[in-house]
Amino acid sequence: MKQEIDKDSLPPFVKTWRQLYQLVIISLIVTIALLYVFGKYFQ
Amino acid sequence: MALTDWIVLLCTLGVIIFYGLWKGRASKHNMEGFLLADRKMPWYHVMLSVMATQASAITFLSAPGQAYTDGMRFVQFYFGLPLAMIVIAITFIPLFKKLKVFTAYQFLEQRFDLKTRVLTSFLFLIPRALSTGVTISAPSIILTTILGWDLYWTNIITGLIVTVYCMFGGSKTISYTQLQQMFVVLIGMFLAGYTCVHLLPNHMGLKDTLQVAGKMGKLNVLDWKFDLNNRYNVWSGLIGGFFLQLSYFGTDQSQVGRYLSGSSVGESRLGLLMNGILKIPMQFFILMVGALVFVFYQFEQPPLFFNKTELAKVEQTPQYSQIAERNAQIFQQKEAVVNNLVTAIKTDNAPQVEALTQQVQSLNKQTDGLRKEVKDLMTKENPDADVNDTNYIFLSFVTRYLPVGMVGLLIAVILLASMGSMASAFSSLTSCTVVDIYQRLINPDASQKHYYHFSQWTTLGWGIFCIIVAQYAANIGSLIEAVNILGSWFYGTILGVFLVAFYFKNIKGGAVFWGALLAEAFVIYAWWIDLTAFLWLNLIGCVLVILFSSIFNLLNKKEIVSKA
Repeated sequence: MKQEIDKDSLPPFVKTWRQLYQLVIISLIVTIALLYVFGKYFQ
Repeated sequence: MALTDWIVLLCTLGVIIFYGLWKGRASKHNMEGFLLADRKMPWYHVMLSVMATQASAITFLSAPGQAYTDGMRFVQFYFGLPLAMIVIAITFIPLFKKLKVFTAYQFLEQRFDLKTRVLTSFLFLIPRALSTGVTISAPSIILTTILGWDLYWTNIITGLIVTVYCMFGGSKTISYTQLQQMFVVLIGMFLAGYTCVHLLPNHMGLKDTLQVAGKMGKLNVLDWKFDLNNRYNVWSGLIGGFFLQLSYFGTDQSQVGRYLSGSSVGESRLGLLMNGILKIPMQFFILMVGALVFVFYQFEQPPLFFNKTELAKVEQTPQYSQIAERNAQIFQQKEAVVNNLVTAIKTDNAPQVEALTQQVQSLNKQTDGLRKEVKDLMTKENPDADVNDTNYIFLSFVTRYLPVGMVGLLIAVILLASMGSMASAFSSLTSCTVVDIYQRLINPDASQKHYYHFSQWTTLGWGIFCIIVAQYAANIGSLIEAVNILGSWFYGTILGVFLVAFYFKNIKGGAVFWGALLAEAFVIYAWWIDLTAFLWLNLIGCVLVILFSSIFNLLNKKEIVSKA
């Protein structure tokens, strides 16, 4: 199955799917951080 | 609605539907073509399709209203979604794709047995069919109340339009219409937010507007305090939201069908992961429109109650006249204080900002008190009165203040959002009926052409059924809650079966089938004796399936050992 997935396609911008998963988690953390800044700034 | 609005509305709907049908005509006339768009959709189709499926009309009506009344804290509800997308991308998608399944429940036959597959498919079909009826009727009720349309015909026309394009175009048409729908919906919401700021007094820019919203406590996007009684905080969003989204995206065929249409594991994965990245900003943006509308109503006197049909029933009473008079006086005071607050914010006068903020908040509290008095009056006049006007706030603003043309566009936004989720639901109902029941149990050896035509007729049948449910849902207000309760009877059990399938490799089919049945019986009993709030039934069902399956599996093993 691994072979099939690798052949299937690789993610854009990054080299492996693991890196893309990390990117999603980082984006979640950044989003929460930005929301924190947004809330603080306007309150 | 003005003629221009009608033209904008009909052209927007017409162009999108005909474009979808035109693109869908190339689909193969077989089950894979009709139910999964030939499994050839690129990632951005998958992403917008799952977004359109999740975001129903109520999302776009209710979320701004919620931000208006309760602030933007609802955004935290989606914090668990990116994590759920990762789990589904790693676990569910490769398996579903490898086995080339049409439905999520088909996988359960390969993992367990036929009876488990059919059981879960049935458990999905019942609440999904009923909730789709509510999906048709809920926005119709709001549109007919505000625009004076006929509810009966609004249900029939919206339901039939979707049924017909799903029937003739299949999954590819659904995917292409959802792509266009999401673009129009997002553009419409952006224009609504922009116009809202534009309608404010000249000295108010976006930054000033957000600062006023912040001072009024409407930008409460994060709450770090762990509190089980608080529905929306960071932790409930991350933990509770994760399980909820995992259950929805992993086991609900209306979502599974969308990402199975991806052309490869990679495209399906990428579509879901991009949804994980973009969903929170999108929801934030929709909620922000509600906060902007709130600020707008600091400078323009809002109605005491936004559902004008319900309000009309008490408007002539002397009590209401008194409340309205007090409300006008409070608003006059507030207008002056808010203008002073804006000046204080602009001049960076912190002590004055603090003092004026407290004054405005106090006046807003008085207005909230008057709104409560109006609601009490409504209940007194009519005990069955619908006293929740959250869903009416945004559309009421649109129809009263937005320019001609934009009203038509925003009505199109609401209808398109409704149609997007309805189409996915019809497709999922058809998939389960045809693949899990008709093909598997009744007629396994028919030709692909036969299944294709049978799928078309099944779509029509489900469409008609859901429209009938919509007509009843319109008459019985509590049916929306009834459908939610019905969903919580079944979704926990379904998630439990899938979790056992993925993470308890030693548990066999017989054990999980009887475990699921017993868990289901317990869930219904728990509801019957009113053991807990119905939302918790999801968790109870899920945990019990795992527990009972493990016990049955253990007993079964012991029996085999003792026989040996």
